[in-house]
Amino acid sequence: MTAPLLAVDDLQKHFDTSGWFDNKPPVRAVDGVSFEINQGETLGLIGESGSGKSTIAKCIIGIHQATGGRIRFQGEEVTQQTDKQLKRIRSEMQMVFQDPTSCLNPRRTIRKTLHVPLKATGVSKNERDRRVEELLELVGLNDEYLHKYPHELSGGQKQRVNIARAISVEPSLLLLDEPTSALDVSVQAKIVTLLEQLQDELDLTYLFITHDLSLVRNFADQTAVMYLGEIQEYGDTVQIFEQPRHPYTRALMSAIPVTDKREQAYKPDDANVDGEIPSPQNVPSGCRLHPRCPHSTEQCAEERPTPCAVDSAEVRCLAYEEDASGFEGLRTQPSPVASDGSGSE
Amino acid sequence: MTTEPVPDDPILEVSDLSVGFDGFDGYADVVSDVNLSVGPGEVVTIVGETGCGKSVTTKAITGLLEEPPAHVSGTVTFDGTDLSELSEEERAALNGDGIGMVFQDPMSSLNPVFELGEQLTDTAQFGGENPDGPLSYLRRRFSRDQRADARARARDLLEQVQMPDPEAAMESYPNELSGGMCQRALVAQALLNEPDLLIADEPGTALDVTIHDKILSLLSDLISDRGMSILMITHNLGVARELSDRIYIMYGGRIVESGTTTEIFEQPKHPYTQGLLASMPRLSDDSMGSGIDGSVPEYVDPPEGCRFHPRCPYADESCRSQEPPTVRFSQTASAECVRHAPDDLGPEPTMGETRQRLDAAVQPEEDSV
Repeated sequence: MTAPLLAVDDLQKHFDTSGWFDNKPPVRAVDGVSFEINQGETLGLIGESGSGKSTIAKCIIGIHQATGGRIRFQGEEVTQQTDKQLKRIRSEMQMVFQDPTSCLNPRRTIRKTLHVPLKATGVSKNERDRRVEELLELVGLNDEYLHKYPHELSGGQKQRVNIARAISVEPSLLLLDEPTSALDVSVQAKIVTLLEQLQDELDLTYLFITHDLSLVRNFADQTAVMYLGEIQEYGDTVQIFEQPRHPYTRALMSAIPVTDKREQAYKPDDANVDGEIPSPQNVPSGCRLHPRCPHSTEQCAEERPTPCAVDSAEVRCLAYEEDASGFEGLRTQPSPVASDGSGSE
Repeated sequence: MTTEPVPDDPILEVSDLSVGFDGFDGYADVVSDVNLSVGPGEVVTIVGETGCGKSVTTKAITGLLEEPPAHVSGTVTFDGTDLSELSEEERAALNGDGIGMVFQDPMSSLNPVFELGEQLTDTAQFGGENPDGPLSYLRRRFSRDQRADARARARDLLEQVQMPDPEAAMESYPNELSGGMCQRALVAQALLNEPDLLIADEPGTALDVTIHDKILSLLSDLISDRGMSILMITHNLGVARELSDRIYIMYGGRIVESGTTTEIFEQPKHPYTQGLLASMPRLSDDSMGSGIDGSVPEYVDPPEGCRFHPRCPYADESCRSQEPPTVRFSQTASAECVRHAPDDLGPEPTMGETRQRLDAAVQPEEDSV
């Protein structure tokens, strides 16, 4: 097995908030996150707003500087990038943002927008127009769009242009930060299909960030569920969907409104989480979910769980540690698809 | 145009509602010939994507559109009275008292310069009613007993919508509350004067899934407790399935399909409904459909005939040349699609066939607009 394309090890990003006179605790946006992505695979990173998922992407690409931990990209340490490294990795990894409109310069035509990264990576002048046409074709637009301005395009088309711009420098890793949440479902499905096609054609690797758990079901190879700066459950997508272990993953899944009975069978029916996500400036002691968790015990408030392996997934929950007691309610929950029988073909 | 199988004695009945706007580019024909009804105690949902005219429809129902530039025609009957015959004051009195509304964006729907308690108390004390004049207003506003009563009512309601620590929330400004709390406050505000009909415009869409789920279950509890009717708007089919009794699917300013929740989800008839259902992300290992090409039509120069035809996998000449007929499948279910007409020769749209055709069209080619 070759080394993973991207390896993040115990990544930390704390934002300092203390002023001259007050001494507030730092915002722990990302607090000890580790994962790996192999070439050509997709990692789905799930979490509610404020869980730190975008911060991770920004640390990887160098918009933020990590305050701890290591990021290795193609075997090279890029945690504190030098300018030279930055120049290289920026053409190897690209980011696509959530809001397709605000990412495009309203005064530039699509042709001009797509010329910028080509110029920056040294594509010769007479080569550029040909490349732009190729790119547009790749993302399913024709050359009619070359001379249009962003306001003439629909949301889905703008997101296609953003994707074209990201792949124009021939990156190997794409960081997709909620690329479809601003779009309608019928358009969202189109964009996801496009991303799948591009992955096949160009051998791309994706870090797909979203708050919609169901979106990664048939798209990501691996899934990581984040809560308050920590990964709570990490493993094979199929495994996580068929047998979610962590109470938070179960709550997220049971909160998704579904459209038929077969889907309904996948929703765990044990309790929901209460209340709302606390501020990362003031994280709860012990397990970060314990004030909201329906299964929490006194132990949860005191002891911080470490990730432990359950089947092929890593779960950060005391209930799955070896000598756990008091979690019978959670551990004996049947797998949601067990009753259905059709889940694990 | 759908002729609606009216529930006996509907609380809200909308017939032939059309709304258009004068714009710089010409006249935009946004909503046309919408017929819908809501029975007492019924939850009815309008489902549609961005820009299909859902919100305009509810604004026309509540009279919140400014005319001109808007042109509204058709009749809206609420509880037996034709709303167009009411004077402006009577109409204003009805909003809040008879019809409550919950808006989409919880953060921007509350007044940022007043404490939450103040806003709710005002609604509790003056909402829906029509005070006789400034003097009577002042007398009531500064009557200590009345004010305290109203405040207590507001507090009770906050408790009912499960606001954490209602007392503290009453003394907070909206910016001190989270999105979920603001949404709860808005639901409470809409319920303060016990309306018979609640119009909910994408309640909770701006919130995280776990909170969204909470708000929805809260709404469904409140409905069953009070026997209230709800007209809900959403773009999420899953949400519609969880809450509603009947569903209208809207596209391009028209209602293209209607039916009970079971009918819509088990036997969707219109190609648009089928495409939408296929595009939903899934929890099971069924793969997700590949979406529908193109986007919602322009209203200034809409497509001829069926408005869905540029995106429809079944479209042919007859879709372009004529308005689609309304085909009725049962007492409650109907769809506007020429493919279902008895004398049509084309293939009948089914869920599987639509899915196949949409997937086949996915080869990277031009998005038709």
